[in-house]
Amino acid sequence: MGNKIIKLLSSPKLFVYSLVWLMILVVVGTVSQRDIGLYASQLKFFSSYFFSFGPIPFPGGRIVLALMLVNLVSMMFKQNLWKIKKIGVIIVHLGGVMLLVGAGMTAIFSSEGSMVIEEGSKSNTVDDYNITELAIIDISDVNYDQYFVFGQALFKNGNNLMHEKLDFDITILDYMDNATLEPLTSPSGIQFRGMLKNFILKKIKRDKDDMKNRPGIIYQVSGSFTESDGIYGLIFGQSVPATINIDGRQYVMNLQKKKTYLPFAIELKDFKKVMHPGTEVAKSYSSNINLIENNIPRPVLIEMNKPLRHEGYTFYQASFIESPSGEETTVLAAVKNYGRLFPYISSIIMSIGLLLHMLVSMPNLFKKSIK
Amino acid sequence: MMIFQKHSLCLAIIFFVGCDNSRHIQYYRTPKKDFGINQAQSSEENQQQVISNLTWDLPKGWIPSKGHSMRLASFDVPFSKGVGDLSIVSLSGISGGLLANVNRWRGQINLDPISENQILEISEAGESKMGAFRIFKMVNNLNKEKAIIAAVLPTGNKTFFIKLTVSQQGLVELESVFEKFCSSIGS
Repeated sequence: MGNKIIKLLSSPKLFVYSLVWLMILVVVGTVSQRDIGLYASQLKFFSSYFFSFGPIPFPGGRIVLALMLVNLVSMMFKQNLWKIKKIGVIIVHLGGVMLLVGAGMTAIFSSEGSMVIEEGSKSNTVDDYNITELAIIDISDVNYDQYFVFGQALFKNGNNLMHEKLDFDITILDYMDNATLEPLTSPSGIQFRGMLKNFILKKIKRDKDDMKNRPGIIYQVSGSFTESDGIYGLIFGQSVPATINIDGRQYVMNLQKKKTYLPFAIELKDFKKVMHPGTEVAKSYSSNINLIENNIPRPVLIEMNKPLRHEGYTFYQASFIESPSGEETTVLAAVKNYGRLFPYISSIIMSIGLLLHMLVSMPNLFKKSIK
Repeated sequence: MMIFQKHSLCLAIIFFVGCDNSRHIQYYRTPKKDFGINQAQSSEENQQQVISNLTWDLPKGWIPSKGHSMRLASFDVPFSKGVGDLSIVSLSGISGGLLANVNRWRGQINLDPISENQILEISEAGESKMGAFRIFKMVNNLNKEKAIIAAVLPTGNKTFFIKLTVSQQGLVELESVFEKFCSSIGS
């Protein structure tokens, strides 16, 4: 049975079928962007293991790429491949494996977010574009804040979130990709706390433009055995967040985009924009920044087509905000992609492999043409 | 060779299935940050708030929310069918003038610009603890989901702009509360 599976997984037919399915996924994913938006489409068709149309499940991009990787690696261990005249094929396979490993690294480890910095201020945090997290912040200490942060993948209904240093438990009751607040028309139950005494958090249809979605979460605090035990709700963008007091410690609860703290900071010294003559349309804009590492500032200019690359991050000039009073704020897109170089290197390897294969096969081709 | 093939299968499964960068539980410390907790009082009763030396009586049910950095304060303002967005902005001097600001707001709901005389004709006067203000209601019958009611409160060296963006139904429901809120603004 095991051998049959191995044989199936190393069959060249599997690779071809996977490739055809990938092409179908690309077409379906591209078309569905119009209705559900870019990020939702990417999640559904490419970053998923399975997705369903009605009751029928289909393999998603990740499972197909994993199959292709297994297939390529398995084929490389076939004994009849390891011959000198097949050196080109071996190298092409290696290049393909490298491309798929790079794709996996990008899918799993890459991150994209934004840094919003006002002129004269600095920041060392990147806010993810899509991933949300629940932050429980203990603000009781005079010198520092303690963060207990739970990622979005843990927001499954009924899931318990715990940390050994937290004196209470959190149970997720509902998580909404896009939510709105509606006032209560009748008195709330006694179990509700914070804003849920006056409002209900209602799930609404996900917007195509992911930036317009406001995630919401409803959760239960328990185990403190105080008045703070109860059901709470949070909505993204609620800057003055819910608070609870337990055993003399004050906690702030916030639903925020996943924050990544950088080992360096960026200070915006000056933001410049050039408009198209006679219009309010920006022609180009740039950020004159200080890259501060170990308290040593280094001046850098980030322009629209000249990103800053540092410590594995690439900072692109993405946008800007200008207040009517003239204060300028830059918006930098921060991208970290460990698999960035893999497509280039694997393409070169595959080209070399194809070239070698052609050279090795040439004598036979000539022989055939002479005959 | 078969053993390598089995290992490759296991490795690939672990590689693709085992990781998820949003399945994290983190603990860390940061330097103290101001969370504006003093502003986050219970919204069960009207209460007086003090922000940037400005005071007002916060109506029942209004929730402080996150706004743009240039805003002095922002609130989610509930009504029977949804929530409106109220912002308070202070700008130095006359800051572009009444005409420019009102026409900018009109543009936000696709209304054509009007003259200063027309603006003054359609506005209503009010009186706050800091002086007189004018209220402007902007409604576009082609878009019932977005209407604006705004107040402009000029003081000595600053002008305060209080703007509520809400649906037409919300505007009808919240108009009197908005006027009362503007009247409560003082320093």
